[in-house]
Amino acid sequence: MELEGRVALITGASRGIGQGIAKSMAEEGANIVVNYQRNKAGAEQTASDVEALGARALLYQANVQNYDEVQAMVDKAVETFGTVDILVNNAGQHYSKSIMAEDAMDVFHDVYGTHIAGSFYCTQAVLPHMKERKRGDIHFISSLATQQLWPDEWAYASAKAWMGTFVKTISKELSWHGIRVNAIAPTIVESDMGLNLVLDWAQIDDPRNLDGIVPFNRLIQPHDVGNMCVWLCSDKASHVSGQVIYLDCGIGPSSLREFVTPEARAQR
Amino acid sequence: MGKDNLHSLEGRVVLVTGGSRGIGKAISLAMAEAGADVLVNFVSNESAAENTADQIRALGRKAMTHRADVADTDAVEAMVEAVVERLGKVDILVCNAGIIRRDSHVYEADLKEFREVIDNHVMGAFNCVQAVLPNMREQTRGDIQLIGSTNAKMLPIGLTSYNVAKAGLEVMGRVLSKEEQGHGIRVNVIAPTTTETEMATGLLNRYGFSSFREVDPYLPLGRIAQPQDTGNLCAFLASEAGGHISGQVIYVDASQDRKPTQEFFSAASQRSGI
Repeated sequence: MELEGRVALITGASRGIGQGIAKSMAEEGANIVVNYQRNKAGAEQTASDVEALGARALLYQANVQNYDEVQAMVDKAVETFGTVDILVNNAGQHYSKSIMAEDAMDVFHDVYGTHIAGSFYCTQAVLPHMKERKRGDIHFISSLATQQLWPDEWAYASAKAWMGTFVKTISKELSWHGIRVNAIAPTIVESDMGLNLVLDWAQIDDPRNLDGIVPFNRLIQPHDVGNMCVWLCSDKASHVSGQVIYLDCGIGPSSLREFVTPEARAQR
Repeated sequence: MGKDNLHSLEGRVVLVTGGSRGIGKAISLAMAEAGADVLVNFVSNESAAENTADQIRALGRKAMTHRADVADTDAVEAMVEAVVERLGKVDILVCNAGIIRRDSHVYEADLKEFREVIDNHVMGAFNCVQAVLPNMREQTRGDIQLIGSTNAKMLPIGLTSYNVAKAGLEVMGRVLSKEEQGHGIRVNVIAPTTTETEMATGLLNRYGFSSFREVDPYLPLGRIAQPQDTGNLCAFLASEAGGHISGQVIYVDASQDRKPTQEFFSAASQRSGI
């Protein structure tokens, strides 16, 4: 087990990628702080999955945009498990909306508040514990949106791009304290939302027919992101820090859409 | 696929160029530890290659050695024929073979030496990739890994040919990942910083140290990069756990991407009073 005795705080762990990371880490022996904001039922599911894998789970409701709540969550985690030595800044808000929309200001505050202020607050709150142990891993879940630069994703893409620069700067200082910082940036992951989008683009009904349609014949699963996180925390990755690693099958700035539409398939 | 198989390379065959020593050796061993059979390519040091092959066999895997200069197209083709004949296929290729020349600025660089470095890295990778692709495309999954360098990012003066060659590999890897994506082949560039190999001992001597352990406390993350840091990443990327990662350039550099390793050595020699 790669993460025996370690404690991971995963924000936004009630569904999708966060849930996948929680399970991958629990499978490797880490105890998990399952943070959620609204989706209590989903978070309870994550916690019971974690426990079924033989690890301990602490369910904790907190809005990462509120520093007091974040600090209280980390205090509780330390009281329960003794420390936090893995942080996954995963909680996110996605909007696809024009910069000229009436509520653009709200989008700005929500997206920047969650991704930028939220992940900064969580990082601040766990750093003293990591420093004390001279060991820690901080992961930021970024996105391929930082390369695709779709106009309506101005808030989401630029907030995710901030993560890359933040990772590359703080990792330099933190490397003197045994703390590794990396970002993992997936393209569309097979959640309900992502799957429906791809099926719609491809104009097929049955997800089992994605063979030969999407790169490497299947969509990225939450556990693919989880596997990457686990590996980065392991001793095998002991010199990997300051990286932004895209989980995108190499499609880069293009979109999955360009691969899966009937027209694109006809050209192949 | 179960959790136990997630990192397994069992049943796969890897060709590692320059696989006898240093980083190439660590890649060969990391792949073998994960279950792969290995062809260890070498160009000059046969006994080192045999030694690496013996270590692979001790791990219970098949190993063969093959002398070939990667810049020689015919020799590379013959090598790939040999591995297909002996081990059945090639489904992982690691282009690691490399040479370094302390050339000066382009203005006064020696044409022959410059070309030698480009030929070795860029044409060497091209030769190997072209030779393995027909066989690799027939496999359910293929992996091509090009070993880059932080030099492609830091661009130190005095190593122009090496910088250009490693930057060329980055672009080749990124383009190749798109070309071969439809054939189930992942292509990535793994780019280490200065690593504890014979190549780096010069640095040790220059700053008056006798062991890398004396320098470790002055380096980020507490030690100089080890060959297996790169080997581990290669094995991970080739496994099911790394299955959706392609077209990436991943640096194994403890985030020291703006500061040459020699500056850390220099600071270390001052602080440790040498």
